[in-house]
Amino acid sequence: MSQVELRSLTKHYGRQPALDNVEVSIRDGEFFVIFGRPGAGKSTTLKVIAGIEDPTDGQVVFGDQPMNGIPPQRRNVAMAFESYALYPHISVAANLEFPLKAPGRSIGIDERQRRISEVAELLEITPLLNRRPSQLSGGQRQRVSLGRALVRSGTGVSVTLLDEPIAHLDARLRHWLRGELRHYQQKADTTTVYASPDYVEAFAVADRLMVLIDGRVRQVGTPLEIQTHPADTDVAGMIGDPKMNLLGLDSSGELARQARQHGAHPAAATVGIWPTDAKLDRTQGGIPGTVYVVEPLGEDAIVRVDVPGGRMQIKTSSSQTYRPGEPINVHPAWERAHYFGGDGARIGGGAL
Amino acid sequence: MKYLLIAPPLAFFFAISLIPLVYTVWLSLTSTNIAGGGGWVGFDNYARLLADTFFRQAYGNTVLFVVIGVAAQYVLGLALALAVHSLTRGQRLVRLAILLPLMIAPLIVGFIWQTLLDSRYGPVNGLLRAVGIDPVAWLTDSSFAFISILIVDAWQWTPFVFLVLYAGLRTLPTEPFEAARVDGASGWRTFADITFPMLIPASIAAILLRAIEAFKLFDIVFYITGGGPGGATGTVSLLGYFTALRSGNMGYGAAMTVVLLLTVIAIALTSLLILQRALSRPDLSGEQAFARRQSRTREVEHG
Amino acid sequence: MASVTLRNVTKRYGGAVLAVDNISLSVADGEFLALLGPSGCGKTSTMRMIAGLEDISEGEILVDDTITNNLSSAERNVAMAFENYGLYPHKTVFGNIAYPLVVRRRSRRDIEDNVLRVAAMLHIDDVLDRKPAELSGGFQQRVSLARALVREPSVFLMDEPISHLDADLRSVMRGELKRLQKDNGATTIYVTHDQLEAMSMADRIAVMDHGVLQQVGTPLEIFNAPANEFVASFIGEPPMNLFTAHVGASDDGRSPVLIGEHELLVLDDRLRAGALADGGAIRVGVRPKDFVLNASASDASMPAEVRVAEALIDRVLATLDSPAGRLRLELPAGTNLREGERVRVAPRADRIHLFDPETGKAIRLV
Repeated sequence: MSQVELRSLTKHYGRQPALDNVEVSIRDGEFFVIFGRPGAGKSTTLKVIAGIEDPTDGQVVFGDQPMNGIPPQRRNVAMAFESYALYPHISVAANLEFPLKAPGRSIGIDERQRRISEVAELLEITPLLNRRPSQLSGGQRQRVSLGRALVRSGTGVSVTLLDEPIAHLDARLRHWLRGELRHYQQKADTTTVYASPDYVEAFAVADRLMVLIDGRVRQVGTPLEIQTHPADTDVAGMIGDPKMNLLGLDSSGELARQARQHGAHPAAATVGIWPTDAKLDRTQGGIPGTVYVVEPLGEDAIVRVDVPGGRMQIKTSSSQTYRPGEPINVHPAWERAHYFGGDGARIGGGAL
Repeated sequence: MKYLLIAPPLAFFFAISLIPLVYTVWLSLTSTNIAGGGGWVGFDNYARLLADTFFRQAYGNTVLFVVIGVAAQYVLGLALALAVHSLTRGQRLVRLAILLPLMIAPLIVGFIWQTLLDSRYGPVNGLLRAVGIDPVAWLTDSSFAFISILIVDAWQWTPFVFLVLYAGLRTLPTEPFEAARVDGASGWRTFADITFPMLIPASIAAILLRAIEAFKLFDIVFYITGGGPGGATGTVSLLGYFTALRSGNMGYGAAMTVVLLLTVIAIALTSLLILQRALSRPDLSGEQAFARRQSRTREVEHG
Repeated sequence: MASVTLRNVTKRYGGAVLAVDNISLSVADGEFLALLGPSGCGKTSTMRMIAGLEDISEGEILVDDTITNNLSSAERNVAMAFENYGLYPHKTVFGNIAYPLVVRRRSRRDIEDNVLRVAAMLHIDDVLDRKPAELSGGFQQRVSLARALVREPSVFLMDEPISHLDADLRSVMRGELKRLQKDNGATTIYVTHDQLEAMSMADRIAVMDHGVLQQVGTPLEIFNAPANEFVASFIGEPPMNLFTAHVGASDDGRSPVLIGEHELLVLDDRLRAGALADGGAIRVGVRPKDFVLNASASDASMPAEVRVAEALIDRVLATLDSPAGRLRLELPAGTNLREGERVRVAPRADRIHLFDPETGKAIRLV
C-alpha cells in the first residue's frame, strides 16, 4: 500500500511521444482509473509505473521512494496485462501461485491455496484450475490474468495495475466483475490503477480518474466532477453512453439563438447536451430537426436526429415511434447544457 | 554496452564470411598457381576471361540453365502447389511425396539419374524401346545432355518451389477468395485476379532463391556429364573448379568465381527492388489510373 | 430485391457435428433480419449456406420462389460483407469495388459510374486509389459494403461487419448501416453476437443457440417476451437477473411465488401450467431496471444488502446480496446507496418473467 506519484512523466518511442509530461498523484488505497481511447498512452503509463518501461523523462514515486532505475520485481507491483501474458507451460493454478512464490515473499502453502481458491471463486474459474492456458477461451485467459494480479492483494503489494482487465469478457461477466472488482478492492484496500477506454466501466468503478488524450492529461477528478464539469470538448466527447452531444453554435443559427435565449455564455462556440437531457415532440418550438434513424434498445431507444450544428443522439422511451426522415422538434434541458468556447475549453453551464 | 554484446557474432561473421571473400578477390588479381608461384597481375585475369571461349560457353550455359530451368520449375511448382492446396484430403501424404527429392544429396541424385538415363542399360531408354521409340543418347549427345541436366535439376528443385508457393498459399486469407466466389468470378479469373497477384511476394522469393542456387549449379553436372560432351553442359562453377583445382590455376579460377558472384549479386538486388515495388506501389491498370485521375480532379476542385 | 426462405435447413460437418439443426425461417422482401447468438451457435453457418459458400446438408433455401441449393454463389445474386472485410489486398479501393462488375463484363463507362455512385454514398470517394492496407478498419469496412452494394444484389448478407471497429465508430456505423438499409430497401441478413447491434438495427431478430432457432420476433417482442431462459439472458444489458423461486400453496384460486418466506408475486391459478405444483421450483427473471427500491412495506418484496453501488450521470448500477442470490439493479440517477446498506427490493409485478425450471420455456402470464 502506498501512494503513487507521477512527476512530469514523459515517454518517447523513437520520436513519437507516448506520454507527454504526465503529472498526477494517486492516493493511498484509491481506485484510480486512466480513461482514454486506444493509443492514448494508458498501457504505457501502467508499464512505466510497473517499471517494465523506463520513462524518457520524469519520475515515478511510491510513497516517498523514487522508483527510477528500480527493476519491476523490486517494485512490488501486481499487474494484469491486456494481452494476458500467462505462462503457457503450467496450469492455471500454477499461474495463480507463481507470483506468491517469488523470492522474498514468504507465504505458506496453506495461505497460497486459500488465496488461489478465493480468487478463483470470485472470477468463476475454479473448474479451470487444472487446465493449461492453451485450453482456455480468450475470456477465461483474461480472468486468469486478472486473478494473477488480484491474488497478491493484501500481501504488501504497493500498487495493483489492471490494464483493461475485463474488456474481453461477455456482457454478463463484465457487469458482474466490474462490481466485484470494486468490492474486492475496497475490502483489500490496495491502491489500484485501472486502464479502460469504456465510459461505463471507468466512471462506475473509479474513486477518481484521469482523462488521457494523446499522451496528455486533460482532466483529473472524481467521476461526478468530470461529468458535471468536463474540461473541454475533447473530454466531453468521450463521456456518456451514448456520448454527450456536442453541437456547433453557428452565431446566426436557430440553435445559437435559442441557446442564448436560455442563458448561454455569449462566447460559447459549442453546446454539450446529454442524450437523456432532450425531449422530442412534433409540436412547435424547440430546435427543428430530422430523424436520421431510430435504434430501439429494449425499454429505451436511441433516436439520432439531424439538427443545425450536428447529429444528436437522444435517449427516449421505446414506446414512441419515429420514422427516418420525419421532421421533429428537439427540446434540450438548457439548464443542464454545457458550454465551451472557441478553443474548446469549458466556459459554463452543466448544473445538475 | 549494447555494441559489446553484438561484437562476438560480428567477429565470427568476419572470420567465416568476409575474410575468405576478400581473399578470393585478391587471388583473382594474381597469377597464383597451386604450387604457390605467381604474382600480382591486376585485371589481366578478367581481360583473359572476356576472350576465353570455354568461359563464354560455360557462362552462356549457366544463364540458360537458370532462365529455362527456373522458369520451368516455377510453372511446375505453382501447378503442384495449386493442385495439392485444392485437395480436400491426403494433403500431408502428397506433400511428403513431392518433397522427397529435396531430401536426397545431390551426388546421389546424380547417381540415380545417371543410371536411369544410361543410353544402353538405363530404364528410361528401356521404356522408350518398349513403346517403339528409338533410344536417345541422353548423356552423350550435346543437346540431349543439356536437356537431361534441366530434367534432373527440375526433379530435384521443383519441390523447393512447390514448398515456398504452397506455404504462401496456405497463409493467404480465405475471405478474399470467398468474396470472389460471391462476386461471381470464375475459377480461372479467381486465379488470375486474386490468387496469382496475392502470391507474387512468395513467387519472387522462390524464383530469387532458385536463381541464386541455379547460378552455382555444380554437383549434378559434375556427376552426370562432367560438363561434357565437349563443354555442352559446363557451368561457370564447374569450369572454375577445374581451372583452379585440377589445372592448379588458382588466380584465373578465382576470377571466374568473382564474376559469378557479381552476377548473382546483381540479380538478387534487382529482384529485391522489384519485390519492394510490387509490395508498396499500387498497380495502375486502366480503371485504377482513372480513379487516381478522379481523386486528383477532386483535390483541385476542393483544394 | 427478394425474399429469402429457409425450409428445415440442417448443416452437419463431417457427418457428425450438427452446426445448424432444422431451421425454418423467412425473410420478407426489404426486411432487415439479424441472426443473433453466441459464437458457435450456427448463425455464421446459416448465412454461409444462404451465400452458397457452404453446402446444405438437408432442407432448402429459396430466394423468391427459386430453390438455390444447387446454384453457385454467383448465380444466387447475393452480396456479402465479411467480418474481416475480405478485401482484395493487391487491388485499389476502386479495383475492389469495381470487381463484381468487371467479372460481369459490364462496360467501362457503366463500371465507373456505379463505383463513383456507391463510393460517394459511403463517403470513400477520396480514397479510391488507395490500397486496403493503407486504410483504417472503418474505411475498409465501408469499401467492403460498397463492393456489396455496387451490384444491386437480391440479398445483402453481412457477417459481423462492424465487430472489429472501436466502440465509437461501431456506434456511428450502427446508425449509418441501418439508415442505408432503410434508404435502399435491400433485403438484409445480418449476423452478429452483439445483442445491442441486433436490437438497435434489425426489423426482426432470429436468436440461435447450439444450432437451434430459439425465437424470431421484433426487437421489442424479444425483449419484452423472451421465449425461454436463454433468450432472456442473452438480450438486454445489463443482463437479466435469473434465480430460482418456489410456488406456494394455493389459496382462494391464487398462489404466491416465494423466495424463502418472501413473496414476490401472486399467480392466478388459472394461469398455472400443470408443471407448477405446490412447492415446485420456478425460474424467475427480472431485468435490472425492473426492481423498485424500498417500495412500501408491501408483501411482494425481499430484504437485500448493498454490495457495490456505481453512480453514473443518468443511472445508478448496483450489486445487491439478497435471499434470491446476488442481483444487479439499474436505478434512476441520484439514487443514494451506501455500500453495506440494508434495503428492500421488489420486482415490478408486471415485468416479471417466469420460466419452466425443466425446459427453460417461458410461462406466459397473459
